[in-house]
Amino acid sequence: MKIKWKNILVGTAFFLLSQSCSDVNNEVSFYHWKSQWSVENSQESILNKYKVEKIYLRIFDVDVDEKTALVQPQSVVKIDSFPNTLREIIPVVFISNRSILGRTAEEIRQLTQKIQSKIEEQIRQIRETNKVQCIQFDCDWSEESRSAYFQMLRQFKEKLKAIQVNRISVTLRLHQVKYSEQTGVPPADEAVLMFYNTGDLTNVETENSILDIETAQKYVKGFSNYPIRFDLALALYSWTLQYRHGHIIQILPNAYEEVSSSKLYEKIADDRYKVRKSHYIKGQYVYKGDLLKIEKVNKKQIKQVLEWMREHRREKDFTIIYYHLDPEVLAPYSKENLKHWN
Amino acid sequence: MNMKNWGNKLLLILAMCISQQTSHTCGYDFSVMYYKFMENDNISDPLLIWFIDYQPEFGLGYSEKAKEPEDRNIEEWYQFLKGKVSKEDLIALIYSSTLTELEDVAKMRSQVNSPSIVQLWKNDSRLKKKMLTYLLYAKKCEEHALWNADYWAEYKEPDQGRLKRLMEEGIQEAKKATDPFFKERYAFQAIRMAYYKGDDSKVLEWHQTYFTSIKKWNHICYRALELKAGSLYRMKKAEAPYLYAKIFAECPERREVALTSFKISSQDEWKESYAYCTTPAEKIAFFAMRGLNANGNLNEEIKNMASIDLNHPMIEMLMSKYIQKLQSYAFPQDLEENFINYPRVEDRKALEETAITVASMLSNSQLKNKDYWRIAEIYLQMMLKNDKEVQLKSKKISESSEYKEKAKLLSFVSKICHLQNPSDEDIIQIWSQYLEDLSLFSNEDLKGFVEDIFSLWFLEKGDLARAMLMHNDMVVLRNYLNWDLILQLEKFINQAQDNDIDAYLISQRCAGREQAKQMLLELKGVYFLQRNQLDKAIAEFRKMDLRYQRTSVYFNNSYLNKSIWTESVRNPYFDTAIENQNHNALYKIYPFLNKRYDLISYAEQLKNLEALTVKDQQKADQYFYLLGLAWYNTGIQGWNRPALYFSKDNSGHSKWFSYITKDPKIEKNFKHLYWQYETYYNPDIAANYVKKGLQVTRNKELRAKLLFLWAKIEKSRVPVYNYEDEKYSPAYYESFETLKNESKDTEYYKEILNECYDFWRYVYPK
Repeated sequence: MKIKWKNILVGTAFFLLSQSCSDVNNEVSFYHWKSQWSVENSQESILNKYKVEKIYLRIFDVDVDEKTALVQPQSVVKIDSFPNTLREIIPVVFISNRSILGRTAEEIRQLTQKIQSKIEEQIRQIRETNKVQCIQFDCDWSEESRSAYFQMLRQFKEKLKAIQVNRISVTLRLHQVKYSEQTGVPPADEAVLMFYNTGDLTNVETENSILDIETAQKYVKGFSNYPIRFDLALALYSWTLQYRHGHIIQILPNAYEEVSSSKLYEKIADDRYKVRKSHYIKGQYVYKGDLLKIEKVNKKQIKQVLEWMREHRREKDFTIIYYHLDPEVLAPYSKENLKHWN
Repeated sequence: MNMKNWGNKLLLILAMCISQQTSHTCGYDFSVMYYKFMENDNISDPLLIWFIDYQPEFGLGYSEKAKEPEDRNIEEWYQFLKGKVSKEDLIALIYSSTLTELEDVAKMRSQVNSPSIVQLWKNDSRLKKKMLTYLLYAKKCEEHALWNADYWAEYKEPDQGRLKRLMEEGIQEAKKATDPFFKERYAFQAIRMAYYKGDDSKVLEWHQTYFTSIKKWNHICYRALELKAGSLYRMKKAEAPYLYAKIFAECPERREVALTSFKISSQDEWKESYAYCTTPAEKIAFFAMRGLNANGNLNEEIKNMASIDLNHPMIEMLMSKYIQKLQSYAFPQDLEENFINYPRVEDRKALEETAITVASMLSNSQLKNKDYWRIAEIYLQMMLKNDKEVQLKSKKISESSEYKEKAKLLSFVSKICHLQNPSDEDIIQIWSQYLEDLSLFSNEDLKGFVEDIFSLWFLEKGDLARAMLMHNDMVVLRNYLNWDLILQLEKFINQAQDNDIDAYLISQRCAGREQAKQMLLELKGVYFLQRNQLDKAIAEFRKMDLRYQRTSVYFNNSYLNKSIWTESVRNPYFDTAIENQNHNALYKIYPFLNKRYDLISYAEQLKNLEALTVKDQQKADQYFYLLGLAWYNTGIQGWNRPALYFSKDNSGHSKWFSYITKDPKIEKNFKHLYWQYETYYNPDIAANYVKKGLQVTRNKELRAKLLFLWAKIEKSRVPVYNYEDEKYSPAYYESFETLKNESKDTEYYKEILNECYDFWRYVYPK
């Protein structure tokens, strides 16, 4: 039997529509994680469709360049212009843990200065049309890099005031909330809890690595003690994982419709398909015999996460930020779907 | 070998692997350290070695055996100048000179810093002018090629006007140039500027004009072809991947660029692009590049390539890459994941498929480098655990073959992997074989693996001493002391046989039999000392001869003199000046403390303090506190742990309450909590002294110190933070609570509040 994912998702959304919502903020926000922002493509129509008021826009990554071993900005977003219907744009800078690990205080100070200049450069472009009052830093810091990262955040907090950025936001992973005593609480004004990528995608047996409810459940109890107010980031994307002889090969984004409907794949279990003939899909080559596993977040899982947020989180209201702004990802959802999950 | 018991044995082996030796592993793939028995240096074309470890995210791999492609640009300049200049001077002139320096030379303000070129130009001023004119132009172009070299600098769009002027200048010069050498180079630079400007039609037009009729392809032709391919890619033309394949096939120094640029997005595009191929090498390159991709199925691509040209060296490249992957799967250093559990059902299927491919290659009489493929076959059979086949096929590699040593290595690895329940004679015989063959004994990867396997064999026989010594120097065993091990060590030292393996363990792990006897006495003493059996400890230490007592670094461990009695909330400072200050301060407060720093003196000091608690009851609280401090500080969580335990880097702790070790194997033991079962540590010794101190003290400051020390001791009951229940012993919370309620007005309380996050958070919960 072929699975019509679109139908399921629409049906899911319809079901969710009938539920009430009291504590989730009414606004719809998104992460934009691509390397190019352009109003000419379908992004503008998405903004209109969902009446988006706030965007978390990844402006660049900071990572160690494999070839030069230098810490460098990477995938700097190319910005065209933004519609002025957006109430707020929050630029996001991803900082890899290895970029700051083992650095001296002076090296961190210098790196902070470089990142600051790059942020200013990007903000100048955004501010031609929109407000920027807050910056978000995304870093999966470790115990070893905590001190460096927090030092960096304190320096940003001080420096960014000069360019009228008054709020610092950070992303949090589940373990950082649960074990805040060990991982520390970053010196930030607000935070967003990334409630996805909770499972082990390398393990072919993992039910759903995007949102592994069983694993996630172990982490939610520490929510109420967390000292910073945090909102919730939820993944809407699906992906297809390619395995060969039990080993993960690669991720194929947005391939589920093609995989679930084409004769090139043999369905061997729910969301699991075997490649019948070697061919290209979404620009990637899959070989005969490869296993494709479709993963996506369903309404039951999202409902569960929201329940946990209500039960364990201190503040009554929170905003959901969806990951991420992409026409293909969002195709099955209406604005109402995204506003009323419960 | 009883496979069912392997799991339990592995747990023990894990505990035994705390070695002071450095890691032997040199393989690295997908973040996994693994034993590497098949080096990537045995393929026909050394220029391809770089690609065996290639990973799209990380670029080319590294190998000492890999051959760098020659710099054909410099070579062509050298040939053009008929060898009248040195290549070093050419490199300095072409690559290192700046635009300003060249302008100064052109304006006769300075000379180039290359003697042979100065001489050449002195003799030929026309040539000097030609070269300088081109190099000045090329340097101007280079600025655009490097516009984003500093990624932190603000991004600026390329100056379109300047690019246009450079395009025009280059093409004019190309038209004017009579010498093909300069004509091609000007045309290339002009095409390059057109490419950066985004003017794809000019790229294609000029490439057509200047490069399509060239008969003898040189470096510049391939560079120009790259730009043409780039333009075609932007235009979504299927010819683009074909051109990259051609470059990959024919131009070694541009292979990496070609590989990273080679992109095909659909089956139709593949067909269309592949149809451009005119030579087998180009076709082979298509499959090789697809195989090198992250998702490449190496076996499939090997079959594809072999059907075109059985003897193409790129097939060996993919086969070696395949073996590299197998090694990372089957021989990770993590013993839990090693060869014993390999292959799983899925792996076996993959191996069998590849074995069929290799067998089919070998059956083809046209195959030239047969021994390479025989080695591949042996490797696959080893992975499939067909030792019989491995031994049989290894023997078929002739003595004169360059692959003979590889065959010998694989035959040995396979043999030790598959030997079940080896007899003592077998073990001795195999060890002697290993020891006598320099090619085996000098292989660092094999050494680590052999230690793992032999250690397991001894463990299966209940021979803990040899199993432990196979991995560790004798001194490391102070971390794993139990009486059974001591007896086994004693037996081993006294009855070591006259064979290679015992001789190795005695000489390499115990520094000789006599030294081993002294070390054993020291270990016995440490065993008793760790258990607070001071008289027995002192008696054992006194049995050691005086020479050993004077020279043993572990008996005279420097951690015995490093602030062992410190009251500091955080780490004591271990740099000499502050350490001396600390010591001096301590000796002023406690003048009775012994100033000799060895294990006997330390044990006697503890005895003395114990006696003082009875003799000098007025100060008993102080003595109990000092005893508590000493036992906590020399315990597993204490700052002076290396005094009684082995520590690879001999360091103390860098963080309050959190134990972080630099030794990955120790860390692993922490993770799995095997360590607590293997290493003796009794926090009750310290806790009991603290409790006695609390019972008798009337001093509020000392009471605060005792309470805080008690909390530390209670926390040390769990070797690592327990993520599951997040609880320490009730006494931990009790001590904090009492401290909070009763010691607020003490100085030490303020110090704790200031220095200790855990207590601060306890007093001020969120």
